[in-house]
Amino acid sequence: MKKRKNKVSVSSAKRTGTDGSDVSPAPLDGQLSAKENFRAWLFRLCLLIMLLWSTRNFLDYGDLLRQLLGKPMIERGYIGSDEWRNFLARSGRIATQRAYASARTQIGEMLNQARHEGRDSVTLRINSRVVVARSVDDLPSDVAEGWRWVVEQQSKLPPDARVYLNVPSMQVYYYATSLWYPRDVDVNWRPTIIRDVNTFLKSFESVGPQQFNQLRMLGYTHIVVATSQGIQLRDLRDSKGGTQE
Amino acid sequence: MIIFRAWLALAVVEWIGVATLVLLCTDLRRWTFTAKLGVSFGLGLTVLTITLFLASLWGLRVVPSSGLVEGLILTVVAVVVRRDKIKSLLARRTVLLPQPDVPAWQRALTSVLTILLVILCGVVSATSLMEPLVEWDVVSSWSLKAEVLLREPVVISPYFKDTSKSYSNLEYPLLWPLAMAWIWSWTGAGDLETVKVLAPGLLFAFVFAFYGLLRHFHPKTNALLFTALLIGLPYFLSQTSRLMADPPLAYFVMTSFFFLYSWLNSHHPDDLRLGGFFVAAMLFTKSEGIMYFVTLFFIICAVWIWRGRDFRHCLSMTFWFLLVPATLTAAWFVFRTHNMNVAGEHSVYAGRLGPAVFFANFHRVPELLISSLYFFGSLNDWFLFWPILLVVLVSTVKHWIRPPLLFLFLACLLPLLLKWYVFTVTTLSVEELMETTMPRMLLQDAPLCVFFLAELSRSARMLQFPPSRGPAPEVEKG
Repeated sequence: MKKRKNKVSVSSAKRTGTDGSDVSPAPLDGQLSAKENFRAWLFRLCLLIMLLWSTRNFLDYGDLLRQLLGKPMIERGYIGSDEWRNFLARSGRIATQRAYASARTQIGEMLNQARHEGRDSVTLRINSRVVVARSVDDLPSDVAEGWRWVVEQQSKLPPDARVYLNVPSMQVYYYATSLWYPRDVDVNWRPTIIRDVNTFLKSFESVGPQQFNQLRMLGYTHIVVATSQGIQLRDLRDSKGGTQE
Repeated sequence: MIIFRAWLALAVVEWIGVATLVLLCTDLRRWTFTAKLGVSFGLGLTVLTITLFLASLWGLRVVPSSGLVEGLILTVVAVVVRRDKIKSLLARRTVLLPQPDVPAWQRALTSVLTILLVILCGVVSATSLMEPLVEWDVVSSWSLKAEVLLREPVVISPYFKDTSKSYSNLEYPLLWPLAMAWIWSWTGAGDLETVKVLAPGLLFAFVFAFYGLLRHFHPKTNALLFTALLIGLPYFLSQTSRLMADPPLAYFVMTSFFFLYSWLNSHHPDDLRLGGFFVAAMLFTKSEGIMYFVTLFFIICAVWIWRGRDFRHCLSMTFWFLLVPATLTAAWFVFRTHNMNVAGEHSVYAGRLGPAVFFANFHRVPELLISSLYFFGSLNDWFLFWPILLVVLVSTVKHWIRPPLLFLFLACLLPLLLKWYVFTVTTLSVEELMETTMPRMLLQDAPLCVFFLAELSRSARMLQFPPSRGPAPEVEKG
């Protein structure tokens, strides 16, 4: 403040200009010292690097937009929630970002090896599933599949449906309670407290076909079951409802 | 047609905000047009959602007519009370001195930055609109609440006491879900696509508000530079486009502390009124808002010590920044406490905040700090922003160690310390806590930190382009 050329004398209570606008502490005039000058240039260089770096956003968002354009909503949602294909789904999640980078490297190496052997894909076994992958984009995403399945079933449920989730899948529970609302989705016919995956698994009560009648009497109209074809939604009001395994 | 109705719902938010701005401000010429546009959106969100919540407590559902009536009443009152000020809504900000000639390279830089910002916001908005609501946390927490609020008034809804949905954080504040429910009330039902108009709405409001408020202290080029710096941060963009609740909180944190800082420089009463409303919005957006409120409390105590002899001004500041927000959100806190007691639900942190638990858990601190470093240095999410801020902080101590910049420094630092304190006392594993919470914590602080960086660069003359407002004029002692 000592070096200020245009001396400003203001009352301690109010620093306003003649027209009432704010008079913030103005930049000081005069020469910068060599050290200050160096610091200023370094700062400008850093800002420039940041701005140039931020143009990467154009590529990332442009590429994602290209993938989404012209596709139906379900497919766009699948891409949106697929952490392998969509950088947004990995954003801020360092462990997921590391897993993605590592998977990319490993699959790249495996593909190189496969190409030497005259193949353009590699066969992977992930969580007991066999996946044929040409790139990391081909890896299956549980989150995306959970989202797609829940959204697809939404139209099959009447507004007053009451669903029993007979599959210990936290993802399906999270998505279904929200996306199927106001339909009830339960994993136990008794009152439960579900705060996280641990309390979810503790609350989960698996039921066999012999208990389906009991579920009907409790007002449940549908049940989600795991079958050899994957997760299925069945209507408990059908005569054979839920009994086919 | 449905998407058109969603945009109309957003326009009503802006309309309510503009009417509120006219009512709260005695001198609208202090702000640029962009600032008024950006700030109005935040004000509109605040006033609309708090009113919708009170109406919901009264037994009314979220319907378009509530907002329309509110907008109409506010407009009529604004026209009656501030008829002479309305003209200045569209007026340019008062320029103190003629703008000096701007070199050609600076004009070119200004144009490049403007184009960069427009295209980036356009591409991100288009991507966001094309991608339906998929983000795990948004679906399971915020959009579920929005569905509930759309269908039934909070006062009769069993949701807030349903412990089978505790995972959706029953106690979280309702500003963002009410904003979603507001959009859906116009489109007719909860869906995964139209609600995404909130993302470009918030993004553009952020850009306008941040740039416009920076212009209060900075020349055009510098304001654009720092706005581009903020908007270019990948994590900021990703969370805004995915409709997370952290970007709106970051917006309210930035505006709250900006107006406090602006008031410390100007003592203009408009800053207090605007700041007070944004602090209320902070409390009504996320539970972390309480930490920022505590920070604000400490800063206000510091201001009392610094300028205590100026009793009348300090009292006004305390009234607007603490009492008004507390009053505006009191109904929410009563509702929240009542429901949590009925449900027998308590925050995982409740009862663990005492120093005894902190010292007992002190062994977690080194692990927390080391884990935090990974997030500060995450190039994918932040590029080099946090390291640059740290280097600037270290090299400009003599500039920020004095008020009022010191208060901005505290506003950036104290919430981080408070959150680390909570991380220390909680029972959750450090790894899990960091992965889910740390990046959001940084995001909530990031816009305020960019503003602090801009102010530091001004104070330390690190970006000394020819100033557009010229040097401060002579003002005689009152």
